[in-house]
Order: sequence, then structure tokens, then C-alpha cells
Amino acid sequence: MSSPSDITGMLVDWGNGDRSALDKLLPLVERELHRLARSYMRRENPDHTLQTTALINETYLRLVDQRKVQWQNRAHFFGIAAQIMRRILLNYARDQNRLKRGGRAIHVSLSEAMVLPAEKDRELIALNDALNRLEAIDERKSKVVELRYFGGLTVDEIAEVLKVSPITVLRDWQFAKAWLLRELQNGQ
Amino acid sequence: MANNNLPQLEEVFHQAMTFEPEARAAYLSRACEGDDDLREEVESLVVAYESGNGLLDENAVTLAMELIGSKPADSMVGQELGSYRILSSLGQGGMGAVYLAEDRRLNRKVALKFLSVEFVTDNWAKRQLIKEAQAVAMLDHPNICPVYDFEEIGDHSFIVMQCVEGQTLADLIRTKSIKSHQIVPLAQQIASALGDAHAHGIIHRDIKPKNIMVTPTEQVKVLDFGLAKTIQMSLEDATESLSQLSKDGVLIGTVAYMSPEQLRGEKLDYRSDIFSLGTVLYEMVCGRNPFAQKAESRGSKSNAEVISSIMADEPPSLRQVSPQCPKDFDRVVRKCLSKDRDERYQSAAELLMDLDNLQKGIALPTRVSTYLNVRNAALAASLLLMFVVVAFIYQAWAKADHTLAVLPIACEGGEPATQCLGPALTENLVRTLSRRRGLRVTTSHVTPSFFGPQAASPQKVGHDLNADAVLFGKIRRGENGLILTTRLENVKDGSRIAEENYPLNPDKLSLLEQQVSLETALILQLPMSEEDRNLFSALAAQQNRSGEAIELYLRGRVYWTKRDGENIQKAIDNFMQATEKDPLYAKAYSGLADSYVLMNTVAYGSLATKDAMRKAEWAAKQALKLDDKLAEAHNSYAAVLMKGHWDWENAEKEFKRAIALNPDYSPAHWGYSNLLATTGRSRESIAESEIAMNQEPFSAPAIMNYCRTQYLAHQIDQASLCLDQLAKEQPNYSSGKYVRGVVYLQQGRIQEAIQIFEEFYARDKALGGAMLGFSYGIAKRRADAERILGEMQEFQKQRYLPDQELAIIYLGLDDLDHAFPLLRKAAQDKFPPAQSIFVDPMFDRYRSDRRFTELAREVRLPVRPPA
Repeated sequence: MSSPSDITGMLVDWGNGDRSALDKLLPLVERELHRLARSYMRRENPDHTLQTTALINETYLRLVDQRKVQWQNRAHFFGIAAQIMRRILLNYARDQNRLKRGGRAIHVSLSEAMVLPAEKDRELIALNDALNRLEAIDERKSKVVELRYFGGLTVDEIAEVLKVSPITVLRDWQFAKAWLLRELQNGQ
Repeated sequence: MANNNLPQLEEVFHQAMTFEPEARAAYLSRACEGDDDLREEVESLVVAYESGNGLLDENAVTLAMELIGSKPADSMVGQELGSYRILSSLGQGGMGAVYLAEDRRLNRKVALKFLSVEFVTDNWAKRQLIKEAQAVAMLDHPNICPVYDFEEIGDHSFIVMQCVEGQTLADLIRTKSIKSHQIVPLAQQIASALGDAHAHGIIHRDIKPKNIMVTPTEQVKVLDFGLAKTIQMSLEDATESLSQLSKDGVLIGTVAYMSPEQLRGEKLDYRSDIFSLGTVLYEMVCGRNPFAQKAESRGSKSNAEVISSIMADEPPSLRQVSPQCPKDFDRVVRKCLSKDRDERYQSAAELLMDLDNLQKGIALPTRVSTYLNVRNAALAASLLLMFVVVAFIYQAWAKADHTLAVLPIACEGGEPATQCLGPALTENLVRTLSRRRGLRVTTSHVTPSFFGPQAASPQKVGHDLNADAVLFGKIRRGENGLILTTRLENVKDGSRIAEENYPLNPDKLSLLEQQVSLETALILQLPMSEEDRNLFSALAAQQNRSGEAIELYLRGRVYWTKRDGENIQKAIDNFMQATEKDPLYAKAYSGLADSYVLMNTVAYGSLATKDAMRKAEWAAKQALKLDDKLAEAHNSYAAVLMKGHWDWENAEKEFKRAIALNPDYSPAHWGYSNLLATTGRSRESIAESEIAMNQEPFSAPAIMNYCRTQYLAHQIDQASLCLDQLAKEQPNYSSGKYVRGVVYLQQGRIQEAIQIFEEFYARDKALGGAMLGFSYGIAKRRADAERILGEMQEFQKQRYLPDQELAIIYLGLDDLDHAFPLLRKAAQDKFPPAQSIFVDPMFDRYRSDRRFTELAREVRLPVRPPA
């Protein structure tokens, strides 16, 4: 596993505009997220939910040497985590949807693994598609949704990541939400 | 997108959102000015936004985490570790994976709980865990999942536990599989498990539905005792940044079941578990966690919301959520959920007592915060109470017309609502009673809260219905089947007119209804109908005796159950006539015996006590001769042996025989409780008096007998609380006040005691004199005590007054030389109230006197050693 200073370096590089740093960063973050999520879930009642950013926060704290990064890096890191979350979730929903459609009986004991309700995975796939369409029209708005919905970031954090004012984030969110909901309803 | 001008669309959309729906159309007409596409676009966005299906309202992080977090770790199925062969995965536990395994050495199935890597590599955490596991392994309780061992084999560390078959409470709640009658029994078992663990110094710290297993036979097994502590601490240790995390509001564990002090990170005690159990009980009734539910209603599922809800919100009353939830259960849960731990149950044992009572259908104390061992009792044998003949009952009901309110008959816990005979019985009773001449019957849908706040008391309901009497009751399960207890109350003052227990045979409901109707008519002195005569004949045929005799017997019992001086003669007259009509009627003789025993004890004066006891003995033997299998007869004879002969051994045999013949016959439990108290077996006596009280749930004397048993057992605080409860439930019961005075003396509240006895004395010298004189003596008001003594001596010249009364005043004056000869005489005369002086706390201070111990030896009673 890379040391905190490696990761911090990559994060700093990425913050300075080095796109390739992100590619190296993503799998590391994803692995850590997985590991932490598993350990969280073992301690958690599935009925019960965690503070939204807790997991990412902890991942960040574990991965990054905080003495070497500015606090803004944290927001960037959250941005990355949001992307990862979106990807993980989507992959899972697709897998599951495929399995269900394929009619293969999947034996999953409730205590062993979580199963998404059927409409939930269809919804997720539809949302992801709609979000891609929104990105084509207005990339920033789709980013706001990604950070907020998939990353669990607060308005201020999103404002920091996107370097806009919190008011703008709120307006973007409101509009994007209306737009996405309309897309989803039309799609049904 | 139809409109390509995004900035304009956004602007109009945001503006439109600022308007109320009514004003929005006008705004859009203005803003879009003929641009129909734009208008349509904005309108469709607004509609979509406002009809939002909640999809984007929460974020997906939690969902994602659950998904990625739940991928099963590398499976160990099939592996062999030491003597364990792993058979299958049971899921994820608090610390790591849990597997079903076979212990080949002992040839049994076990559950293995593996510790995940974080724990294994941390020696400190592991040591803690071993320590905790060892502590839990010491526990041996049917509702605690036993821990067998802690093993370290190779890289693996795991706890070996009993393999419990069944479902977690979480599963049962989720699938709505818990029936309402199961809730209290499950709660009792959880509380019992906690009580045992707490007694061993172990706090669970993570009580939640997932940690509670329920077996197919509905046995509870609580899992993971004490382990939460280790987890939390090791995590603290492992994560340097926890302080940082905490600042961000992250908490590990199942927040929704944590107590406020746990969330604040304070040092925990047992009461934290009580809070957590409260949330579990709440969830069992309403299906949702009380605090998560609050947070959700605010549209949030975050921990922060849950935490703030635990810290600040009162969850809605369970009765709001689930109207059929018994009020008392709601109160129990509320008390568990009190934010302030001082206001919760102070121990699981205390909680368990309330749950036990709930299960038995005993109403719980309403406001008193510490548990009172509610009620007890034993009027008859008491030295103190014998004078307390109460005038609280029986208004002479004129033959004028009555209006009777019949309230719904309730079924006591444990009986599924669908099987409760109450509603059918109520309806038929209303119909049967309505046919009676001289009686107007009204009814209500309000089920009275028997001992609850006045608001729903039977008296209040009756009053609202303009009735002058109110009939209500409940059905409970006795040893030999169902029993209907009815109570008839005077609406004017809430006093009891009558109370009866009937065996309830579901196949013979109509007979029962007629019987209740008939007895109500007898008590209210309504004219007998043709139907009544038929019923008497029917009962007579059933019992092979004359209808008239049965009628007389029933009348006699009605008077006798009042257990006071006023009605004894009436009871005797009726029983006597019944035996005249039917000389083979064993029950009538038994009733006669009981009445004479009572006369000997409480209504002396009209007949010398010895004479009464002789008659009682004759009647009891007569009853036994006629029917050796009659519980009533054995009980009567037991009372004669105890109170007349002071023959403890044989009296005990007879009481036990009576109880064996009919465990539902409350006078036998009552009498036996007195015998046990007298002979110094206080714990058993409390238990028996409690049974009697439960069997006569509306009877003030039965409750007082319970309170008094506690008093005699030197449980002064409990007795005091019991009396508080009695006063609340039966404010018109003056005997309660008298005993209150006696208890005050033990509590050192002498002035208050004096005040009570002054009142009694003013009303009736015979009633208050002894205790008033005694209290003055204790208060060192010698002149007052001597004045009372003089007045009582005068009084004795005009009326019969037992010598023991004067002895008590002498004792108060510390004049033992005068007191002892009188006490001895009372004992030699076998004066029943003298039986309890050897256990009565009032006499503790004289007990070391040689004369006292000698006296006890003579009557073969143990002297309670001075405390």
C-alpha cells in the first residue's frame, strides 16, 4: 500500500493540474474505501445509517498526510470519492439488474449481503443516464449532483471543489434536481 | 431540451420557485410573454421538482457503503481450526464474521465469532476482549447466549458461543412477526438477562434488536454482552484520528439505540442499557426506532439527526402510534427512555418487576418513581387493623330504581384480542340486565382504567353516563381456566358495592351472564324475576340442591366479602338460612365458619370471641364432613386452626390443601399469607398475599393485606409506597389511612401518625385509642398518653375492649411491667390479633426483653431478632 505521503503527493499533483495523478489515485482510494466500508458495516446495523461523509472522511484521514496538504485538498479528495462512489454503485446496480433480468436465482442471505430493492437499482441506472445527459448540457450542474448525491458533500464543500459561491451551488442543485426528476419521470 | 437558452430558463425557473403556487401562473404569464415553449418548460420543471419522489432527497453514500461494505469477506467455510469444523456462514457480527461450526471434541454445534484483523493485531484490544469474554462466560442465565471459550489458533482469534437457533429481534420486527401478546414476555426475558449481567458487573453497551435472538419457542437469548466496550476502545486506539472524526460527528456503533450519556461519551452504568432496552421495546410495539423515526420525519437519516433526536426529543407516546398498546406498557417504555438516567428504572430488576406485574395484569404505580412493591395484605389477623372496621361500603340501596352503567369487560394480557370473551360477555350482560325490572342499563365504549388516573376511572365513566352504579370487570387466566372478576361500584363516591370472581367456561357463557345479572340484582335489591327462579333451579339442579339455598348462600358471600364488622351478621343470617333450607350444603357451612372467624377477629363485642370461634369450628368441620374436596371448607378449617387454636402446623396443612384443591380460591392464599407472616416467613408471605391480591384485583382489603405483609416483613419503604398506591386507587378506603399511620411511626414521622390516630380516635375511641396512646408515648408526650390510657380504661368498663389495647398504650409509655401481663393474657386467650406481635416492627424495641421471648416460646412462634 502506498504511504500517506505518496497519496498526498498525488493529490497535490492533481490539484496542480496533473490529470495522470488522478488515475493513480483512484484505485488506491477505492481500495481504502472498500476496506473501511467493510469494517464499518461489520460494526453497523444495516438498518441504520452513518453520518454521510464519515466514511470518506475517514478514508481521507487514513490516506493523506494532513500536515502536507492544504485543507482545500480535502474537498478535492471528496470530489474523487464521489466519483468512485458513483461508479461502485452503478456497477453494483447493473450487475444486480442483469442477474435479476437473467432470471438466475441468486441466493443471498439477508444477513450476509445487502440486496438493492429492484426499483432502486433501475432508478440508479436511470439517474446515472440522466446525469450523463445533464453533463452534456451543463457540466457543472452534473458535478454538483455527483458531489452532493454520490459524495455526500455539503454545499460549502461543493462550493470549494467547484470554486463557485455556495449560492450558485444551491441554485445549480435546485435546477438540476428539477431537471433530473423530470427526465426520470418522462423516462417511465 | 426544447429551449436552448439555458440561462434564461434557469432564471425564470428560480423566480417561479419563489412564488406561491397561486401566484406562479401570473408570474409565468408575465415572464414568458408569449414564449409558450419557455413557459411549458418551466412549468414542467416546477411540477417535477415539487412532485419529487424523494429520490434525490437523501444521498447515495450510505447506500453505496452498505453495498461495498457487505461483500462477504473471504469465506472460511470448510476450514478446520483445532477441533472446530466450519460449516457455514451466519453473517456479520459486531466484530467480524460469524460462522456455524461443529465442535468435534464435544460433538455439538457452536457459533464462532471471528475477530477481524484490526482487532487481532491489536494486543491491547485482544486482551480486553479475552477479559470480557471471560466475564461473560461466567454468566449463566437462560436468556443470555453462553460464551464457551476464547480461542487463538494460528492467525485466527475467535469467541466460541452457543449456537442459537432462531431469528433476531430485528428480523422479527422487520417482518412484523411479533404479536402484541408476545411483547411483554419477550421484554421480561431481555430485562431478566440484563438484570443478571448487571448483577455480575457487566454492562451490555450495545443492546439493539440485532443482538437479541428469539428461538422458535420464544425464548430470548441476548448476544454480545460487554463486547461493545472492547470494540469501541480498540477502535479509539486504532484510529488516531478518532478525535477528529468525533468532531465531524462520526460515532461508531449503533447510534439509534445509544443512550444520551453514551453519545456524550460519559462513563456508563447499567442504566444506559435500560435506555437502549427502552428503544428496543418501543420498536417492538411500533415497528420503528423512536429516534430514527423522528429524524426521518424531518427528512433526514443522518446520524446527526438521530443523535439530536436522542438528546432532545420525546418520542411520541406508543399509544399514539399503536392505540391498543396498554397504557402501562407505554409508561414503562417512557420511563426507560428518560433522558435523565436518575429518572429511569434504576435497575433491570426494577424494570422486570413492572413487566411482571404488567404480564399479570396488575396496574402499575402511576407517578412514584422508585418501584414500589405494590400491594400486599392481611386484614384479619392483624392486631392493628382489627379495629379498623370500615364504613366505606354498602350504601343501603333503597328499592328505588337504579341506573347501572355496564363498561366493557377487558381481557388481561396474554389473551389474544380475537379470543377475548370480554366484548361478547359485555354485550350479553347489557342485554340480560336490561330485562330487569327496576333497572335502567347504559353502556359505554370506554374501557375503564382500573387504577389509572381518575380521568378514565369507572366512577367517572359512570358519572358521565348519569348512572348511580357502574359494573365492570376483567377476564384473566387462573390456574384452572379463565376467571371473570366483576366489580360493582357506587358512582357517587367510588366505593365498592360488591366484587365477585366467577369461573368462566366459554361454553356456558349464558349461564354465567345470568348469574352475574342475578347477583347484581340481589345486591341492588331488585325484584327477582321468573328467570331468576329458573336460574336458581338450574343451578340447584346442577348442584343437586334447592334454588333458595343457593340464593341465600350467594347473598351471604356478598356480605362476607366486605370483610367488615357491619356485614358479618347479615352474612351469618344468610348462610344460616341456607343451611336450614339445605342441611347438606357444604359451602353454606363453610361460609358460616368464615363469618364466625371474622366475627371473632373484627367484630367482637356482640359475642365473646371464644364462643364465635367454637361456632366457626363446628361449621368448618360440618362443611368438611359434607364435602372433603371443597377448598372453601379446608380454608375455613385452616382459619379456625390458626386463629382459634394457634395451631400453626395443622393450619398450614389445611391452607395448602385448600390451595391444592382450588388454586384460584383467593381467601386461602390470603389466609396462608397471614400464617406465613406470623410464623416469620416473610418472603413467602409476601408472595402469597400478592397472589390473593391479584385474584381480587379490585379489593382494597386485599391490596392492604399485601401492603401489610410488607410492613410485617420490615419492608417499610415498600409498604409505604404500597399504601401510597392504595390511597391513589381507593381513596375512600379508610383502613389504608390507619395503616399509613402505623407505617409513619416506623418512618419516624410521629407527628403525622399522631394526627391520623387523633382523627380515628375522635370518630371512634375503640378504633383509634390504642395507637393514639402508643404514638403519644413514642413522642414522649406522657401526659397525653396517660390521658388516653385513662379514657380507654373508662371505655372498657362500658364496652368490650380487648386487654391488648391497653397493653399497647403501656408499651408506648415504656411501662413494660403493666404491658406484659396484658399481652400474655391476650395470648393465653388466643386473641387472634396478638399473633403478629412477634413479627410486627412496632414491637421491635421490646423484643430483647426476656418476657417477650418467653411469651413467644409459649405460643411456639419465632421472635424476630432485633434488626
